[in-house]
Amino acid sequence: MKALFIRQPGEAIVDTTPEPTSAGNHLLLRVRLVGLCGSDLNSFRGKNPLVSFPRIPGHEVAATIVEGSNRNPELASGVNVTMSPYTSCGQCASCRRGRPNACQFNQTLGVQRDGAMTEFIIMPEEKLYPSKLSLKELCMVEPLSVGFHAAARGRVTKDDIVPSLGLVASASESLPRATSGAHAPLPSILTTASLPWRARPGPPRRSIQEATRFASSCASSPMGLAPM
Amino acid sequence: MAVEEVAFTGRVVYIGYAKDLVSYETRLFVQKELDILGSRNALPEDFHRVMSMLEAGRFPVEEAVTSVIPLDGAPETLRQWDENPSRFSKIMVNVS
Repeated sequence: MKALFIRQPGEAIVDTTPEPTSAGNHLLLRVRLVGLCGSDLNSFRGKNPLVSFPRIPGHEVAATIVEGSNRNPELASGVNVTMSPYTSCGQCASCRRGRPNACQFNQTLGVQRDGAMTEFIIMPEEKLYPSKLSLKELCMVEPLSVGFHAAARGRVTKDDIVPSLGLVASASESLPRATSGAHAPLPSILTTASLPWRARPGPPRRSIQEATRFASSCASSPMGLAPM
Repeated sequence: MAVEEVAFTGRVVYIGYAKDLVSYETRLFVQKELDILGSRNALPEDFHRVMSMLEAGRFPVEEAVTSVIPLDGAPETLRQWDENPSRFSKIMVNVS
């Protein structure tokens, strides 16, 4: 099957690689759509400290189940899924404290181990999220989840003003929605001019200095500037 | 820079990695009594909340995607992205 390889920094090619076979509780999946993120660009540039080469990238995945689960009827053949691309050991301090996202020995698809930029992959059932969302939406779930997690870590509320420096647009756009309910007002997200913003409804582009001046001018805001 | 610009008693969250060292005046941590946090990956509850948001139609997915390319186009797109990072926001590779 075909796969995208980053052979070494600056060198990417499409080459062939053996197809995986399902085993145990790992299901065989046909890869449909894979997102590229800023960390993949850093991998390509040789600036991601966690990546070794050669490496098949790809951790933002929409896929279709080829062989269904024997145990979970929601994971039937033909169902579309996204997936958690991380692993957790269950033994380290992070895992024992209920924070497996920060597992000391995590191996993320496409980073510490080969990823999903290929035709077929196998994944453990418990990593899969079946859904009727579109393939594009499924492909956006992981990057948006990273943004949600950051908003949770930063305890962002609707009263905060949140400049984001260098984040990809999707993560920045997810931040306000992470903190608000369905109809609650959104916190203000201000971005540096270097971000590649799309058209509306993205937040306005400003320099960080403009953001600081803007926040200072919000005399009634008790929170001031709380960058992420 | 974030530490310099953040308000007093504000919060700074680091996502993602930098290979190069970052240096700043640590007196600002104390003077502003800052919270500086790391954020790594995401938990299942983050995935579930995102999927609920998408199911409710509260995120403009189409606006967020810059380009959809075939697998064979990925090497060239990576090179173009490397040369001009602001040209692309979210790239999706249509494998099948």
